[in-house]
Amino acid sequence: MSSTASTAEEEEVIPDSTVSESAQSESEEILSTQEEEKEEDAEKKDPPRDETPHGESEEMNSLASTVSSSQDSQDSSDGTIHALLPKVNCPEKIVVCLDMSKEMSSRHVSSRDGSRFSPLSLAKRVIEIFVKTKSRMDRRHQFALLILHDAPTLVTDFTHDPDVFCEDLRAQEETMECQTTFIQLAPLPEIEEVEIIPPPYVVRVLLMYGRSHCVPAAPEDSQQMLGELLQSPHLFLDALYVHEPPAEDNHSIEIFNAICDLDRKCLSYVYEVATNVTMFHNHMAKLLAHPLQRPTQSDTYYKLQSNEDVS
Amino acid sequence: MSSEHSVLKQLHPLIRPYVEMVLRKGNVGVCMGNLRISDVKSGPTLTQTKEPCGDRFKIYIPFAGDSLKWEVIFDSCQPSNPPDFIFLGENGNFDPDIEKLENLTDWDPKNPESLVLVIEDLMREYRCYQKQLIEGYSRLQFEYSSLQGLEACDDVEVHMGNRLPGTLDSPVNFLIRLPIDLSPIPQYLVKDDPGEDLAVLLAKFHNTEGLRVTPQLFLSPKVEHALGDNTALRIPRFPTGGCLLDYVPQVQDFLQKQIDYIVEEYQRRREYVAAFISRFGGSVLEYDAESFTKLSLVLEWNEFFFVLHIELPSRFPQDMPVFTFQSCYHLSKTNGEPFVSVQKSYPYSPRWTGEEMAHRARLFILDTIPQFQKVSVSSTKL
Repeated sequence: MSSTASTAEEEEVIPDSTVSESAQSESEEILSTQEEEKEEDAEKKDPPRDETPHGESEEMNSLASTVSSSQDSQDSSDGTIHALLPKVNCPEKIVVCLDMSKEMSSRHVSSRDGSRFSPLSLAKRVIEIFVKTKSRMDRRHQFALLILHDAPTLVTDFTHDPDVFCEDLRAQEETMECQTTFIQLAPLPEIEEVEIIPPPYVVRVLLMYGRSHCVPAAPEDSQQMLGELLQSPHLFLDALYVHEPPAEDNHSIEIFNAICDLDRKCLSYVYEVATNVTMFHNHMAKLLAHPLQRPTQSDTYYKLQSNEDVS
Repeated sequence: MSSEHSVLKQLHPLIRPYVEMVLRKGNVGVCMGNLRISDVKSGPTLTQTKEPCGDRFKIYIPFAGDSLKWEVIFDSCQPSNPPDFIFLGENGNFDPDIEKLENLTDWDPKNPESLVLVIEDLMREYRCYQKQLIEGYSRLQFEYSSLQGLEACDDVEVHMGNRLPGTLDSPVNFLIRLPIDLSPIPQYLVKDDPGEDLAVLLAKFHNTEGLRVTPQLFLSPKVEHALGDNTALRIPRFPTGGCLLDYVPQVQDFLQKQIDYIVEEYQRRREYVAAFISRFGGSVLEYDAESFTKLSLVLEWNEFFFVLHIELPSRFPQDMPVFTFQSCYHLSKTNGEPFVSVQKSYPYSPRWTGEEMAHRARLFILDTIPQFQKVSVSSTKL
């Protein structure tokens, strides 16, 4: 595997001044929705169902319990976490964050039949399959494309149309030397305040990260804001990390741990892959799962036939 | 609403409140259709004034599938006097006993609902009047009295229409409100429809002999939406020589069956989805948690991953769900969409429980997947 050109500053996270200004206005917006959500959360803890039309909430509860009770037989734990939101297939607003650092195009992996792919071309391919499949499952899902250079750039705002999204996706070619990364979930849409059960939609951030030398971190002054965002019941963060095989001269493991650290609620799906092209596709397929209806990552089980099954 | 607004504007301000109340609360009787007011005019006035001074108008009241047309006449010079009524058209013979119209004899000008109350009195008398009319016809009298106290009949209005030309005969309408209870219907079918649950049966007797009867079922929008828009069209035929005593319960039964059917289908779908989630819970992608019409899973067979979409048809369980296998590795060359293979036919019985269906589905998937893998790989290149 070819290694990326290493840069001296790879470990420092120095906010670019221009970017942090734009972060300011967005963060204010984000902060205010956070406060509104906090109120909603507080209300939710007391019997919240009195506020809702009785017929509907009772029905939802019984639906949720009927279906979840059958799932409990498979789920081993985490009943309390799932109780926060009912298991409804509300529309998702999915932000695909695609890393466009140089490593994404300079490395290459081989598939079983010998074809060679860069992580970027693989990512584009699996994202396209993902978006089209998601859209097939429910036309109400929306997709936005955010690319990560030194700073995140919104390429496509939320759209229902998978073709529009994929066209923009395919056009992403230029990768850059990226010396810094931030975790800046910008621009996040304002989550609607109305907390009727079920939520009108949830937001899912799908991070496709490809650097083996640059550890993502949040600048000091936005750590708290980030923490609050990640605790929001309506926001989910999933990640697929493609990296060089762990070695002395790279930080793959450290980066993977940093990404896992973002999973504050223990509801994320985080996958990593180094060279296995098939695995890359498999992980993306698992990421199709709706955050409110899927089991926790530890409870996932996909095998149709166990080893003991010979019927 | 805008026509109501213009009607109100034309009225004398002291008369307006009574009419406003009628428009808001005046739906009396079995009620099929809305009460209407039009043709506002004014009688002679003492002073020439540009103020609105309409003090008489026509009112159309829906009754037993017809529309009664009355004229209501106030006097803008003495707005605290009670109004006069003229019964137009075929109702010309309606001559209520004024002693029985308490709200008219004790007209309270300060109560804005006074006109509503008078109309209610009049409607009550009108119903009696109609009942008297049909007393002369043994067949109709029988029909009417047989409906009283019938479980399948909440309320009935009868109305004799205009005499048929060249005969002494008249068509007669029976409007029957049927009891209907939508509470078992799943919420998602009714939550967007406010308004009442209403089902009325209009039986038009073409003549007083009752030899030809045309039935029609009318449902409020909420009921129509919940039961399916075709329901009103499919009521049983009125049997020749039959009578309402037998027929009305038949229709009631039909409606109840529609409700039961909807509820049962919903339960079956829910059971199916629950069984699949129970069996494949670790592989759930998403499922329709409201009407249980679809479910998607991601599964693995011999390290080959694939997506399975399951769609339940509207006539489940009579019709079997459709299984669509989808590749997570390949896009089809023809349309750029993920490669799929649709299976509409596989071992299935509507009599199986949801669990049995899930079990058999797994066997079918195991049988099908090797071929799917081959085809999806060979017809597209990774």
